[in-house]
Amino acid sequence: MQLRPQKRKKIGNFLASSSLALLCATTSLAKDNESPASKKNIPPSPLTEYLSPTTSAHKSWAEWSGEVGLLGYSETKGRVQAIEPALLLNAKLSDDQAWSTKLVFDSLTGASPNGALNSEQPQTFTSPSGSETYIISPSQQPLYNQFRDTRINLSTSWTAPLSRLWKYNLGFNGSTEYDYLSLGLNASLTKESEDKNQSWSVGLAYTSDSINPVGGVPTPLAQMRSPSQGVLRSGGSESKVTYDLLMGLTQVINHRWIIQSNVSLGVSSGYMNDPYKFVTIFDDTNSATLGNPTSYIHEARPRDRFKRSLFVSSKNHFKTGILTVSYRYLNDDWGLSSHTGEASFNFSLSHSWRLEPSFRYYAQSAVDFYQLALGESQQIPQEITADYRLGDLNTIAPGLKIIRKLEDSKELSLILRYYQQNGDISSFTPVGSQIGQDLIPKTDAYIVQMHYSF
Amino acid sequence: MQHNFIDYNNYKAYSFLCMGGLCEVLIETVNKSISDHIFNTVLKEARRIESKFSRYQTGNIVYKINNAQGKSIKIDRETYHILQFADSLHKASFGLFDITSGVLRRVWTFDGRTPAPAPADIAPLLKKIDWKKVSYNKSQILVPKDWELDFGGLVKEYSVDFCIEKVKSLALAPTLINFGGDIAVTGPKINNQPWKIHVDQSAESLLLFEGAVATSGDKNRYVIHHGVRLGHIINPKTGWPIVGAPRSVTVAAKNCTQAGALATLSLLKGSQCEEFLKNEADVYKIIH
Amino acid sequence: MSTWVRLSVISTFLLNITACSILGVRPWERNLLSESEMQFGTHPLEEGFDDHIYFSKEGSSGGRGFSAGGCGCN
Repeated sequence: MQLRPQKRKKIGNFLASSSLALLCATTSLAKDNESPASKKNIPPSPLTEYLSPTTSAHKSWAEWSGEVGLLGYSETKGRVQAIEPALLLNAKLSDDQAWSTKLVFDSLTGASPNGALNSEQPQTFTSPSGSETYIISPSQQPLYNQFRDTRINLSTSWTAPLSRLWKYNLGFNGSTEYDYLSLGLNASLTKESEDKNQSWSVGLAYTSDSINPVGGVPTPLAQMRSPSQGVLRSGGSESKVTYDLLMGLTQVINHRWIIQSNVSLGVSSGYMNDPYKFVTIFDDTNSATLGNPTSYIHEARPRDRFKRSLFVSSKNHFKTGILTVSYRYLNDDWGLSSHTGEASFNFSLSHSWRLEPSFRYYAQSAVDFYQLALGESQQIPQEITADYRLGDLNTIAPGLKIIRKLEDSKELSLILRYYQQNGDISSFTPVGSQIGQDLIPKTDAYIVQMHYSF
Repeated sequence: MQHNFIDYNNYKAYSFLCMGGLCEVLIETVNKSISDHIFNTVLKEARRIESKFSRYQTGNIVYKINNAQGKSIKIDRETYHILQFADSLHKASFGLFDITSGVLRRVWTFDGRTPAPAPADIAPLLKKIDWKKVSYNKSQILVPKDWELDFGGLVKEYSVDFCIEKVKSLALAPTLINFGGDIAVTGPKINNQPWKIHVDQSAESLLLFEGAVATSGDKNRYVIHHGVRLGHIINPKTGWPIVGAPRSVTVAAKNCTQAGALATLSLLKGSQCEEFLKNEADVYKIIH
Repeated sequence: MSTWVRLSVISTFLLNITACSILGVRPWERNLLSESEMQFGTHPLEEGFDDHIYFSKEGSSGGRGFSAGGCGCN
């Protein structure tokens, strides 16, 4: 029998002592008895300060992050201009809890269409307050001045885990402006799959809005009356309640592809008219004054609305960059249906500069009660609106985002976008003096956004 | 808690997904509240360590280090000691074990389907692998810009040891934990019986009274290249998987970190694997 | 079949596919997915600005998440 030489185990012993050093330092091993031989090789371990493995030298109460943003919005031809600074703050607490708050200021100036039709005649309208009039020159689009000055919006939410895979979110949302107050609560539940490839969520929101129009709530379908006659009002304020249900799924398809899909249902009931908008009633019988406006009535919308939408979005990481494509289909019981398609491609120019060109297309078909204007001989329907935003229209919005990445996950970005909306009035046949007028509702706007996230 | 539980009366078996594989905790007790307490301790620490050292989570210490862009990052004591251990492994392997080889994941995917990268893709990354260029102390680490640290070769074994130490200090019941093939026990079973460990594809079983067992190999993570199966342990000097090493190596030692280090180091020796284990390890098993 | 019903059927079908675990990645394959550009909802202020503009100029709202509150625009 051959005597086997003693194993020298130089590396083996070295590893034994190194691994013990690691474990001693990170657990409370010191009390345990080690064999005398290996004790010699254990370097002194900085033990006592290590009371619990989860303490770290730099444990702070919360991890803060957030974003400041500024929006500049400007429509052409003297219409709406807005400046909106916004602040977002996030605090990540221990145990995956997070608190988030967002504050937005909205300052609007400029003029908005009041729903009446262009005419070759000058037109006079009573202002929303009912105490003044304003005159619109011939062939000019009737606009009224925005007197809403500042809107403040505050929202806050709390997220926390319920268990390892489940988490919940509770949120509050409030916004107030000169004539409008909106308060809402929302709650949602999210479940992640064991392998984190799938995440489901369901949420509910309740919102209560109240509107105090300048000069009171005009009676729907009532004729516009001059200040001396006194506008018919049906009260000083009105309200509306909305319930929303949102169901969402996020799914990882493969290592370069993730998709998200949401189904939303929303039910509103209450006052949904725009108190500052009219519908033109025009002469459709007398040949001498055919097409001229004869009166204006306040719009009337249904007091209930049921909306449903399906949204899908896909993010694909290609070698050259990330392509995001999304689509939303929405329809409601007012007869409106819309398709929204967006695409953007995010790629790097250099180590810290990125570019993201994007494009958005939106097409909407009008609500059932939308009319560009109403002929005198026609019966006034129970519901009617000439608000271009509820008509047939499509919009395009190309954009470019320039991103500069800074150290520590901070980021600076600049977004430039152009928004163009064109109404489709093919369902309306102009008569008399209307022929030759530019009746197509149009919106043309430039958007600039600056963001800094920290 | 999403985990599986089977009650075998004398034993309680728990399993859950963690660190890229199936993790099991076997507890020899008839008392479910004791086994639950032990299991929850293990689960909590396993998840903590997984999320702290995972390369695929945003916001954790590894993410901060790998996205530091050449700036120094604050580290805590646990991270410091793990870095110290990685340093020992670098020395013991004469530079073949190098945690700055993280950048290689940009071109290598070991799912058995993705082909091996071209040498032209690997070459530029080799310049970003050199543990000696990393500097750190008890509170900070400085890694060159666009480099990546990968703690994957250490974390599983470390978490096994960490968890078993916690269970040992509870002193409630004999426990075995198995994180995807990296195993440790609190001690022998009741009546001083050893735990029977079955090593994959082998007729024999290992009898474990104390200590730990670790396995390193190409069973789950590999690349097929020209019909040859290559393991996922890469030689940081060439950027290519080690050639000539056996399919898998199982080593038993006093703790899992040590066992895992021995197993990995032996594979890094390629065809000299068996020679290395003969000299350095007490108990081992090689599968060719 | 109305567009709404057709789309609901398609989305339910998609949901059923995704419920199978043939889709997805292992934890070590998440490197690309963990980049911030590959995550949804990482730019809440930007999305909030955009949604607000579109909501006040068009007849549709929401879809992406809960709308951040009313302003009486539509």
